[in-house]
Amino acid sequence: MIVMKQFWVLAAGGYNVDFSGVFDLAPFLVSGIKITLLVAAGSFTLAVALGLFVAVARVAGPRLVDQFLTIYVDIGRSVPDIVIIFLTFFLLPIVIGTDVSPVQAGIVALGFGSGAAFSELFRGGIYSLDRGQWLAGRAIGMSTPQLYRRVILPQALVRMLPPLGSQTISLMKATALVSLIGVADLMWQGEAVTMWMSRRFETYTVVAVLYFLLTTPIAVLFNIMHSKFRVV
Amino acid sequence: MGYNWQWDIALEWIPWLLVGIGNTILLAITSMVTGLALGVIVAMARISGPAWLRRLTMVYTEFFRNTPLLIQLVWVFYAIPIITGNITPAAFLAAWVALSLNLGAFLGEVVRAGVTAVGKGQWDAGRALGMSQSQVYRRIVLPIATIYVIPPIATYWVSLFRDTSLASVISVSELFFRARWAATITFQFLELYIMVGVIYFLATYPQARLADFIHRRVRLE
Repeated sequence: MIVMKQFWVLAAGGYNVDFSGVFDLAPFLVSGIKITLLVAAGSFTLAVALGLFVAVARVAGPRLVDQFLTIYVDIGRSVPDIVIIFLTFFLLPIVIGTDVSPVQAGIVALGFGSGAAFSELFRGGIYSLDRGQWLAGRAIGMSTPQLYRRVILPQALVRMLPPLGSQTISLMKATALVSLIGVADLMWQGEAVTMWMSRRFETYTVVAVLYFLLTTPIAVLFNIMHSKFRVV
Repeated sequence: MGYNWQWDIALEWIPWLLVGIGNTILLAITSMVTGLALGVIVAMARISGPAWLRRLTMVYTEFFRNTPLLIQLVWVFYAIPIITGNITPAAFLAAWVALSLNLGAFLGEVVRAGVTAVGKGQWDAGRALGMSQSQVYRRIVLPIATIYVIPPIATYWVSLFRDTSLASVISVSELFFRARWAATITFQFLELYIMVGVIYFLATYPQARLADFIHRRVRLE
């Protein structure tokens, strides 16, 4: 590998900034990116599924279900992600009775925490639709599941694409927290690199830039989707 | 559920945890004050600054909005001694700087949206009355924009309150740091993390409801 030697002196401390070591250890960071993407994809899928289920159950289900799920949503938005992650890591193996890998615990914790936020967005989208949409669906003889699948949810989803995009970015950023329970993601590999050769300033700068490159496409993707599917 | 719960040991640590709430609240308040000040400056720079300043603040905003807070905290913690010349900061100071920088980026966008949301008609009306540019700003645009930005600031306050828990990673002795510490000593991980979760819920939930209330009230105006 070509070693890039770049030295310059930063500010008052006379610190020599040297990125060459970080680039030498880049394969570690690349393997971290793969794990970060895995955790992000897993928790996103879980959060969307959970969010859709909770939103529809709260809107269309009986009052008792709504009240019960309100508790879940309030917990999800009042307890910090970091607490949910640590709690899941220790609680999940006991609840389901088998060993749980840190990656699995991280995906479940982030999916659970973000699911609450996603459900609020979906619910807002459903409520923003005109009453006429329900009436029209009923008038042509649709059942409730049909009505939601064909009329309500497609429109609610498209309307909510911009806030869904920023919530997805939040989720992508929150994946960095799973490094604390030992998932070898980008943040974790960054720390491993600093333990190998110090150079914390340079390593964390590179890791931050890599995270930036991971989140920015999400915003672009959601903007494209929004302009493509928007009806009104 | 083959777990031997030992709540009596864990419950003894409640006073130890509650001391940490003081640091949590202090960190949240100081970060909100500086973050808000930074947000206003950034918004002003982006609305009416020269082109180079607009570009600079845009890079700052996008970078701090799109990278994890965790890495910002760690980065600031290690960058301060380098930039200032080997003064190792207190963990609290580093957390305060990192949270302020993070919040400043988000609130900058909030303030900018608030100012631009004030309709052009308000501007024209002010100018028609013979007010100068700065008078229109001071007497019409800013008071209206202030009302617009209060609900989102309330929301960011709630998430800031939760985000202070990340400062535990750089060893700020706030609520979650103390819970981790106690868990490591007693090995009662589950009990302590459940307890700290309940404490966070009890502290944050009323604030979240208050933020909801503010959202509803301001929409009515």
